[in-house]
Amino acid sequence: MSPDEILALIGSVFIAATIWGRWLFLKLNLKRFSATSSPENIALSVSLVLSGGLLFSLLANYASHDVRASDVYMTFYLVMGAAVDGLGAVFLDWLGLSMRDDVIERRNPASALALAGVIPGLTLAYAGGNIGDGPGWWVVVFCSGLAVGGLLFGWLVLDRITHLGETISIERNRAAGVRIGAWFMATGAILGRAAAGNWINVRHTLADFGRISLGAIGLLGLTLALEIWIRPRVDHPHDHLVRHGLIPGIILLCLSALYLNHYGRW
Amino acid sequence: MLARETFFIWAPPEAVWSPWAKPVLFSDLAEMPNGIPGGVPPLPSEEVPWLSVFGSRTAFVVDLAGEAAIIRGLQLAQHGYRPVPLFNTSRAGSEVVPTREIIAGLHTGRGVLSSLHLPVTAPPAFLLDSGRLPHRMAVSPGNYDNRWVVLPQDFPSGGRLRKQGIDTVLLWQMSGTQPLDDLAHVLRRWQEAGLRVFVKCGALAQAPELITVKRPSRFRSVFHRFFVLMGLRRSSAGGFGAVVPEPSRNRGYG
Repeated sequence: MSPDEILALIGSVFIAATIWGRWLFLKLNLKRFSATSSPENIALSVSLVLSGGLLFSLLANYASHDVRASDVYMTFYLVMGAAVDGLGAVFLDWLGLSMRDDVIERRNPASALALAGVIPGLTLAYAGGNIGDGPGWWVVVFCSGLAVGGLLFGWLVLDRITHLGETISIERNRAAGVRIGAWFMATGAILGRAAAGNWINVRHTLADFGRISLGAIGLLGLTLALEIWIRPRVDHPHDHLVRHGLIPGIILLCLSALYLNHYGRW
Repeated sequence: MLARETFFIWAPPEAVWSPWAKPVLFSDLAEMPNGIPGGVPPLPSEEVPWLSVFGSRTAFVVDLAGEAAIIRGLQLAQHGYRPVPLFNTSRAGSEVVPTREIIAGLHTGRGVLSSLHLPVTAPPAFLLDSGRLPHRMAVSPGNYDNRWVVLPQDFPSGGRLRKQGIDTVLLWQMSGTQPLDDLAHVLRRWQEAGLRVFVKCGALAQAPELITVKRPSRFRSVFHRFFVLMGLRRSSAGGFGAVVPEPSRNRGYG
């Protein structure tokens, strides 16, 4: 590894360990005040493990050939993924979906369900930037930054227009948590695909990203319409987990899969 | 074990409002084993004739100083309300917000609440310490900065309250007819959800007054959370509280 790669690795280890370590410590400290493990928290734990497995699998199969051939580089990009996921979740702390405050401290089941989709969504967006051959780690940071940044910006738009963050964190509407978790996964997959491919130059990458991420914009528009339609009201809370959560969530995921299938491989 | 047992007496897992109870301060129960000296005096109905008017469709928000909030909450428990402790702070030496009396109150509540057998759907009395944010100025190095605030996320939504049959909220505070700024963000939301908000202050017998909660600054703003938490310190064990570090004494040479 070159000196800049070692520096990036140390930075990633520090960020990932600090963020995830603090959450884990807090969770363990407050665990005694929970009577049982809620299904929502179990879903989040499973999602975290699956996200790690998903990232490993994508790196092992589709990353640059020199990454796939080296345990050190595989570890480097896995740790960087943990750091990116952690930073993305910290950023969301300020935008209405808080791992620390809502999931761990307030034991909010709707937030746990949302975060169970947020983490795989961030992972898919990050993983896309790793796919294909490129000259160095900074290319991964650039491409992943586009995808992850786009995903977070999409959430900002969605939340500002529909106040979904409040629906999840104050109303504790679990169906909204499932829908938003699905939106993060569906959009993360499209933006990850938009950032994937062999590196040519910045201009080419931006053009590719802009073209393919149109699907994410379409999905955002559809989700906005859906959310305005089923926005919870006092007389109609729209909180049926299957009808208002799982079914719309599956539809979003299917649309994303169809779109990705249309574009095929990078 | 004491912390867990006491927390579950205050917030039984099956009770409707327990998910909003804050466990952080319960962690310090074992270190401060005494209850409130003299226990909790009853709140005779003749001294608060207005109380029976409010009944089970009312949620209380008790925003009084330290021990007074706990005592009032336990008195309301004797009238059928479920006290929900929302003290989201932690304890240490040189603390900015005193917690000793609140912890003593949590001890006392263990005995009082276990004898009452409140129904799981009992209307809530959310308990706050009105001294939670004595000032916004910087805290001196070496002190334990455990100032704290509440956010709308710390309370059930207006829709949830109405779903449970609550249509009125009674804010019990020391003085003034408007809530503290952080609490105003909660009460204003409840008011917009159709709940009536009353405020009670002054002498016990004085009847509560219906108010319109003024729209607080940065209401529903994406930056509200950022600004309200700015300058406060989070505890790694949950809630608020951390020692303000001493500035380095090794500045420069000579």
